[in-house]
Amino acid sequence: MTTLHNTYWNPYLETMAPEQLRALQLEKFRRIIAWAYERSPFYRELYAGAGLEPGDIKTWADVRRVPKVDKGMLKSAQEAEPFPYGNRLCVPLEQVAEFRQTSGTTGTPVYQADTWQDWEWWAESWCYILWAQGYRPTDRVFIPFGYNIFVAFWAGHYAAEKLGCEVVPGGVLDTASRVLKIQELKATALMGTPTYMLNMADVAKNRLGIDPAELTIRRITCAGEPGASLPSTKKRMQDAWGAKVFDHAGATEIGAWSYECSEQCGGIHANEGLFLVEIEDPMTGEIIEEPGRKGKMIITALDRLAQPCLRFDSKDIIEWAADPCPCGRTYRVLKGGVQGRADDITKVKGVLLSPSAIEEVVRGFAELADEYEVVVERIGDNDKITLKVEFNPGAENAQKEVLSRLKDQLRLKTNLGYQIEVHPLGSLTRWEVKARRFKDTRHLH
Amino acid sequence: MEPSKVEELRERLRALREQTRELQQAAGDFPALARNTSRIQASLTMIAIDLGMAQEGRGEY
Repeated sequence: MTTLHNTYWNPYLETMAPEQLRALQLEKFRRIIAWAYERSPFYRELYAGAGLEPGDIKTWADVRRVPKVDKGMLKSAQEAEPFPYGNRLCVPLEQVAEFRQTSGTTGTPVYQADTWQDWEWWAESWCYILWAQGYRPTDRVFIPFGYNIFVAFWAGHYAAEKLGCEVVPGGVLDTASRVLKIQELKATALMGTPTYMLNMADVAKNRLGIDPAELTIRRITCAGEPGASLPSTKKRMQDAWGAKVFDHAGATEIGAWSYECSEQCGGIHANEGLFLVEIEDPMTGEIIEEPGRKGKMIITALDRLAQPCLRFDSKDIIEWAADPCPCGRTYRVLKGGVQGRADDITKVKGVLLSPSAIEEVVRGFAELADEYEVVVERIGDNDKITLKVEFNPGAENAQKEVLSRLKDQLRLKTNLGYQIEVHPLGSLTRWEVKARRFKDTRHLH
Repeated sequence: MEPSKVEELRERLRALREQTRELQQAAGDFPALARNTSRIQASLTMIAIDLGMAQEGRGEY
């Protein structure tokens, strides 16, 4: 019997009636809360402080009374015993099979333990992603990832194996060698951050003289940055590689909680069989159920056992889409993927600015190269935004006209004015993994 | 998916899990058997999660 033509990795959960799915989530939420309460001093103290015991949770209103956790609390918890995970750990150390950590860009990293059961779950959650994006056993998947302490594409690797794909680990090869290996092996699929996918395409074209669209890559799965859900960045990658580009959002503390499917309906599905995704109004704390209202994601991994992630305030900005996806999955869609992070949105000249909004505009100009940089400074009492761009070869003649349109578009989309600097092609920083193109220096003044 | 079909799959899974539990107990001081059985149990737990067996999805490690 072949199952290769089934649209769904899990035809039972992915098409479950919404009311049945909600009931399953509630049941699983009650179970994971009890698990954590019984085994983790961190969670027990947290819930006792709120006057809550697992048996108290019977309805969705009860779920909303459960205290949230954030990254700072996870970091504090790991100062306790046992080393290095602390008292959020729910299993004996000898049952921990995998160590990963967050990047630590906001200070101390969060150490994350997983049992082998959890690792099965990680790989499985990625199977939902890859299957929905068309990966099948006939694919040869090239993974250009520096296999290390960051979870990134580790689970993608295991999931591709589980699906029956042939996996080529692109480990410590440099970018040019990776491109040549893709060409040599006729790889059909690729995983990486949007920044690195563009970087690889640039190296192929401009250093090796290889048009990446002429290679055999048919699909690319992105993670780590919002680019694959930004239409202009997605288009740029698709044009460069001649492949379909898909988004996925996940995090070390949470898991691989979402995926864009092959219908590409303009958003990502929340994997509601394995996760509980709630959207909270940051002003009122109210849980948003209706489409079209943005809020912060509060997420629970319903089946992760070693260090459960329960009602985690991820700071991701998301909103429910109004329409279901034509793919037939009943898992709800988050319009535009992760639209930004509450941490990233900053006030410039009194206007709220999201770096993703700038990216969407800049990447929409075919005359501009892939890299750009934004610097926000304080000059006296005023904020100044400088946008540094590069022009693609052959587009320099239209520079004046392009810059004029760029300024107009930026003002239209962000309500702000920019000083634009043109830099020689190749002179701005090329990023290997996650880019840091937005630099706010105002705190230095 | 038909509820009866799902229940049939769950019953088959329960039987498999029971067999692996017995295998695990019988493994004694036989590391290769014990650890490989443990991995099978993790896979079976994942199937339980995929079949929405909320109260039976807890890990066996």
